[in-house]
Amino acid sequence: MKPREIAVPRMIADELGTCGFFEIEPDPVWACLIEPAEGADTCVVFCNPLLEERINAHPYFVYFARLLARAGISALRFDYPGTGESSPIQDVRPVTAYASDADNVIGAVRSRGRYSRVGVFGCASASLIVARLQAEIDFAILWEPVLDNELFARNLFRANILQQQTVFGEIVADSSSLQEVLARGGTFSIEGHEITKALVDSLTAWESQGRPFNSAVPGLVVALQRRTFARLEASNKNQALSVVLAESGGAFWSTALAKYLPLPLDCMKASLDWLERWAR
Amino acid sequence: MAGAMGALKELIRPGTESCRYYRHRGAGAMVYYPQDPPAKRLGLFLFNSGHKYRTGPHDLYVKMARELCADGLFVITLDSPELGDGFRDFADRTIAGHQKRIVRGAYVSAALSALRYYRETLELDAVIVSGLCGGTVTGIVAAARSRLVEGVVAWGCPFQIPGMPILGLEESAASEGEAQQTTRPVARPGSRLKRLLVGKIDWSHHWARAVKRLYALRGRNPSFNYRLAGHLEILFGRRLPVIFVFSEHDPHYARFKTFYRPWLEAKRADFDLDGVTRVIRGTNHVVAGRASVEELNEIFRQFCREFLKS
Repeated sequence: MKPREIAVPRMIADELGTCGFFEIEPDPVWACLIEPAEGADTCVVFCNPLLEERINAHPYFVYFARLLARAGISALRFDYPGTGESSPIQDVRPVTAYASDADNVIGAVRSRGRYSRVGVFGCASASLIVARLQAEIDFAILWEPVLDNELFARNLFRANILQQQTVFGEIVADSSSLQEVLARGGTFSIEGHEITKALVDSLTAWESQGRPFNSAVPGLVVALQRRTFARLEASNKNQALSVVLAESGGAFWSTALAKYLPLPLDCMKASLDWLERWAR
Repeated sequence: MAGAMGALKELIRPGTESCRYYRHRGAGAMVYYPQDPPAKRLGLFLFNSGHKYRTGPHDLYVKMARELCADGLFVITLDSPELGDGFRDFADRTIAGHQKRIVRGAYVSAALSALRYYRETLELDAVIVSGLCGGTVTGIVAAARSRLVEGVVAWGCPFQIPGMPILGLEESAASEGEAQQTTRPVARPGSRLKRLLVGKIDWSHHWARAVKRLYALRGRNPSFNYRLAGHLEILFGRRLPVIFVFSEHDPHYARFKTFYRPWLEAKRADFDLDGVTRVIRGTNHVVAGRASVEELNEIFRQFCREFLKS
């Protein structure tokens, strides 16, 4: 596919933001806040996706946060406790636990930040967390959200099996063996992330499509695959939710990793345009 | 959009009792402090591996740093200037392009600057460098170019030595999955004619191809080898403590055994390579497995203990 040429703005030093540990209860979390010099009345809280997607998404998140600041919007990135540089180290927790962490951060931003509008942003598996937020949000922006949580859970097992094939050249433990490991209270690894039964259960026990999709929260979903776009268009019950298809298309991470900057810029532009329209 | 300003910023502190975020020349770093620093302050620098920022793959550097600083080490996890929360924007369009720049030493000057800065700021008496894959390349070259470094843990080192068969860039990628992705053609915007007309020609690409052809004509390795083997020779010559750490199933370990070992043995028959090679069980290049991470930590711990004794 021929890549699209998008002008990449150069960043300036004051867009680095304030990085450090965000003092919230019960433990401080690693966070980075970028604010426009003239102040802002809107803040976007970035919700990280799960597992290695969080690390792979980091450059895009930094970039998008800077673009938001340039557009007059504050952006707060943070690591959920137990991930990144937020302590303590622990195995992958249930999705509800991450949603609760995000609720804490959004609550602190609302009470201390004096913003009139607070929204959330997430990509890929972050949608699983955004969908379970309890905190009050004014808008949500999602890129290529996970729509089928059970498929996502099954893919965790597949990812481990694929890893076994790569490393050992054969399947050492199949899906049912991995299920047994989890049932015994053990974990299995995906790219070094220890998957727990609590995570798998929290995914399979999911009943609704989540708030951004069926409540009145205004939002934007940027679909990168035609399949996602079609499915969202067909099932969208939220009148305030806009669904757009990024022109680049293709599978999210493989395309993003192969092309690096062009794909996220496509999504970023769509998100900024939507925010501008919505603010008006 | 005028409104709230600064109130949230006040809630963000640069550090906790065990770690602190620093920024030097735009590049971020997290420093993990020991609670009870020993008399000799030893710093372990972990340079970022490939395109992953300072926490490393699956936050491996963070897990290691928290373990190792409990043993009295200052552990510094560094971002290269373009990654993490750093100043510059990411310049490469692909992972392959990024790996290529790392192995050509693109981040060495930034690494040396960081070494000087943190050594002084943290009042370190000695410094050991490491990092996975690309991080190790940066560490080795920095150690060879500067006397600031007293020890090297070459971890998952992607060896490329003169005379080695042309394996292509994809083999230097971390894992098989990643290798598949890096074999995709590097996309450059616009047609050739358009690039010619607007003057946006990527001359480095043409230059690299010309040099490759030249080397190929002379029957030598056209991969630009990044003189890593030469840099290591400098370290051996200086009697700098160096150990090699590989995962059992790391493709780089196979290459190390097949090519680097005989090459080094031919040059330095007295060098005990086995004595300085550590192999951790199972898993792959990114040390994905709890037992392997523990083994890895133990290797670092032991190396630092022996280093302090010496």
